[in-house]
This record gives sequence, C-alpha cells and structure tokens, in this order.
Amino acid sequence: MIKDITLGQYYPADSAIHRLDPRAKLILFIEFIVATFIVDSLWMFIPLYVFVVFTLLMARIPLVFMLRSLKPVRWILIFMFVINLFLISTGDILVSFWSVTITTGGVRQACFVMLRLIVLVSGTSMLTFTTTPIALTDAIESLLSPLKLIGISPHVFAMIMTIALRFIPTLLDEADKIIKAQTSRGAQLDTGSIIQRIKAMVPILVPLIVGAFKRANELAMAMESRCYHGGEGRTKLRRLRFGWNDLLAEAVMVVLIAGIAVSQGVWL
Amino acid sequence: MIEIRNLTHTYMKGSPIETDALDDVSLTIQEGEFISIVGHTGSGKSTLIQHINGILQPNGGSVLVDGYDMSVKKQMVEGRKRVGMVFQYPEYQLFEETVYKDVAFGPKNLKLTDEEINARVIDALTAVGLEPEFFIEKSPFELSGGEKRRVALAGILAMNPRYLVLDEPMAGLDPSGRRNILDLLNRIRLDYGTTIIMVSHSMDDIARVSDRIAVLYGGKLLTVDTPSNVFATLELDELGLELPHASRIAKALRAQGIDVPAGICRDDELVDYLLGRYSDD
Repeated sequence: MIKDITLGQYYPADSAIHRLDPRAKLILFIEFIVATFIVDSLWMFIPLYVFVVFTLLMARIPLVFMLRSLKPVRWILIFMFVINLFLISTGDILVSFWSVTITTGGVRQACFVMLRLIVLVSGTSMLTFTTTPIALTDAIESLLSPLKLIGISPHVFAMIMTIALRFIPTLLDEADKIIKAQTSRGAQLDTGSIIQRIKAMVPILVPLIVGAFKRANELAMAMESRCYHGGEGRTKLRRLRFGWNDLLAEAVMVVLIAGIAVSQGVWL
Repeated sequence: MIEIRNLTHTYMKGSPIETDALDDVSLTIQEGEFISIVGHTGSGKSTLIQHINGILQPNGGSVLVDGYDMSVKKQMVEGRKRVGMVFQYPEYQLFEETVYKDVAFGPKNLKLTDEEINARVIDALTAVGLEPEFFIEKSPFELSGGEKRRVALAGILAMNPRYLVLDEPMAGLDPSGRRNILDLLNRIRLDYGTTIIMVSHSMDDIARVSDRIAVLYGGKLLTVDTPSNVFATLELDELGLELPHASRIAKALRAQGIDVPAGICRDDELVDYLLGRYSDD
C-alpha cells in the first residue's frame, strides 16, 4: 500500500552521516548530482555506486530499505530502458526482427540511462534517509538567505516546505480512511475502464480536498493565535554548525568529482 | 452470525516498527444482538472491526460473516454486502452535490434499479430522522454537524446491511446529538433486526443499550459478557477505562456500607433498586 513507499522517508539512526550539518549534506547532494551528470562512460558509474554503498554502510541503513525506495520508480526505469534500447541505432546490430533492431549503441545507452537514474534516486534517498525534513528545510532556508538581498524571504519558502512535508502523512492517512469508507460503501476503485476509474476517484478526492481546505484554515488560525508573523526576528531552536567532519565530507566529494573528471579526460 | 476465530493482525510486518495490533482474538457475534467493543486507545478496536468487512486482512485466523470467509476475495464481496461500516466521523466521506445522491451512492454500487434506490434513500433518511422532502435536494455541506452525521449513517443504512459496524458513532456530538444517534441505533435494531457492533468510549451509553460488551486490552480479548457482569467483575480503571455513572455511584454507596448489588450499571436500574429498598422504610 501507500505506506510501503520508502522514497523520501527518514530512517532514524545515529551515525556520522546522520550527524553531518544538513547544509553540508544538501551541498554534497548537489555535487553528487553534478557528478552523475559528468559521467559519460559506463565504467565511471563504479565509483559512484561504491560511494553510495559506502555511505549506506556508514549511515547504518539496511540495503533492503534502499532497494525499496527504488520500487516506486521501477516503471520509469523499465520505460527508459526499453525506449533507449529500441530507438538508438548506433553501433553494430545485435538482433533484428520485424522492424525492430537492437544495436550495441542501444544496449549501451539503455544501461547508461538506467544506471544514471538508479544512482540519482539512490542519492536522493541517501539525503532524505539521513536528514529529517525539518533539518532539510532549515538547511534550505540557511542556504537561500542571500535571496534576502533581492527582497525574497527564504523563511517563507522554508515554512511552505515544512508545512507541505508535515501534512503529507496526515493527508495520506486521511486518503486511506476515505478510501476505506468509500470501499465499504461499494466503490470500485481498482476495476473497470480508465474512464470509470477516474470517475471512481471523485468520491475520494472531494472529501480529501474539502478536508485539506478545512485543515489549512485551522492551521492558519492556530499559527496566528501563537503570534506567528513571518520570519522577522525569529530565532532557532536548533542552530546549524558547520564542523570539521562536514569539511572532510566535502573534501571526499570534491576528490570523487575531480577523480571522475580527470580519468574521463585521460580516457577520452 | 459473525465468527472471528483466532484473529491475529500485525502492522508493518517485518519492519523495525512492527506492532501486534490483535493477538489471537476469538469472538462470535449472534444475529440481532447489540455488542459494544471497548478498550483504551491502541487496544485494537478499530483494527478488529476493520476485519469484519475485509478492509484489513488477518495475518492469522479467520473472519466468517454468515459463513463467508472474508479472506477469500470472491466470498468477501458477498460478505461485504452484509456488513455496513460506519467509520469515525463519517461525515467526512460525504462528497455529492445533494443529500439524495450521496445516500444513493451505496445502493447504486449494489446495481439496484432506480425505483429500488429511490425507495431505499427515502427509507434510510426517514430512519435517521431527516424529513426526506426537506433534505434530499440540499447540499450535504450546508447541513449542521449532527445532520451530516445522520446523512452519512443513512448512506450506510440504504445498503440494507444485516450487520452494522460503527466506530465511535457519537464522538464529537453534543449530548442531544449523542442521545439521538443512540436511540436511532436502538430503533434500527428493533425495526429491522439489524445486528449492531459498536466501538465506543462512553460507558453510560454502552450500559444503556448493549447486550454484551467485548473488552480489548493490548490486542487481546479480555472478556465478552453482559454489561452487568463486565462492570461488576473487571477492574476497568486498570485498563484505562472507567465505569458507567450508575456503577460509580453504586460503588461509592457500597463504600459507605449501603449494600448495592455490583451488577447495577444503568441509571434506571440504580433508581429502581434504591426506590425499592427505601420506599417502604
């Protein structure tokens, strides 16, 4: 069910990775994404995967948990693989039947795209597994603070994100309840044509949206009655500190990227 | 008859946050009875009743509704038609533009004819005490809280369930609203012979209407017995529950040396007993 999705979930544990400054982790994450995009040969994925497995071990997160986070994207993975396999026609022909030909270039590109997607999803999961949503929004607020100079308040962004994240489980619970209630009134959600299925969503969506509006209203009132008036002059309960271990982590990442860039330069 | 045999249910099985919600629960519910299920928060009440119409599937044991095994897909469809499920705050599931359409949603899913649907909607609205002519064209969203809840209840009744399962049907209502719903349930049971299975925290209400009470604690079924026996024998405070008003007064009287039988749990019983005892003196 909905609750089996581990993508975007936090995995509570006490590890060096969990303890890193969330800003450092966010920067590491962006650097990691850059690294996956400068990779242009299959072999160069090896250091990236080694890096993911290494951090996974350091963060004491079971491998199963990571694999489960890939489950919701499996159809995208398969789709991308198949598309690339059939549509790319460079290199030698391997198989050819009817009007379909599979070439070495296609196989290479298909594997490449899939490896890149998997490593991207794993990287994202690594970030969310080891960082609480609150820490993450704090980090975003802190990193976006230069925007204040041009009159945009990063606090508002951070607050919107915090609230959105906070209400995902609540809304999932609510959806779950409404689905149960309508199913027991005989609603057929998983059978019928596509049109019928879309129509079957109405009894779920209407109460869900009505409820969400009501909640938003109540939340706004609750915040105002506790004197919330934006980010001006607010202090933090948890102060972020950038320490030696964060610097060390950054250094490892820079070495990784540099290594990839240099070896590709050498091999080209 | 609903037979629950050795029912076990575990949430999030195989994960670090695995919890036993139900542990080897066996319970037989007879046709036409009013049975209440009590227990503190997290004792497994909601989990138990969600098995009765197959929304949750057991990890062990079985649930039979009129002989239909709710863990077999084909039999569950048949069994589910017999069980009407009223969730907590059922008014949040209203979604149609008019009261009529909303109450008709269930019967429509049963693929009944239009005349039959019409008759059922009118019947159900009358049964919950909402004047059909006045209410059918209204939007459910413009009604009061108590009216909304009765519309939601009518939506379930319109499916003509033989077993009506309710999860805290009186929660969040004012005293007259509570009384209304409780009287309504009693009437439905008398008029249609519907079996009623109710989860509630209100011991006074439970004492007033139940034939039997099932007490859950930590996912285990402690006892199933008549209200008099349950309130006389169980130490409910230790289970995070409280006694009904009348039982508490009777207990206080006993502590003062006035001999009131332990089985008394309803206001009228207590009044009758005291009148009978002291009117001659």
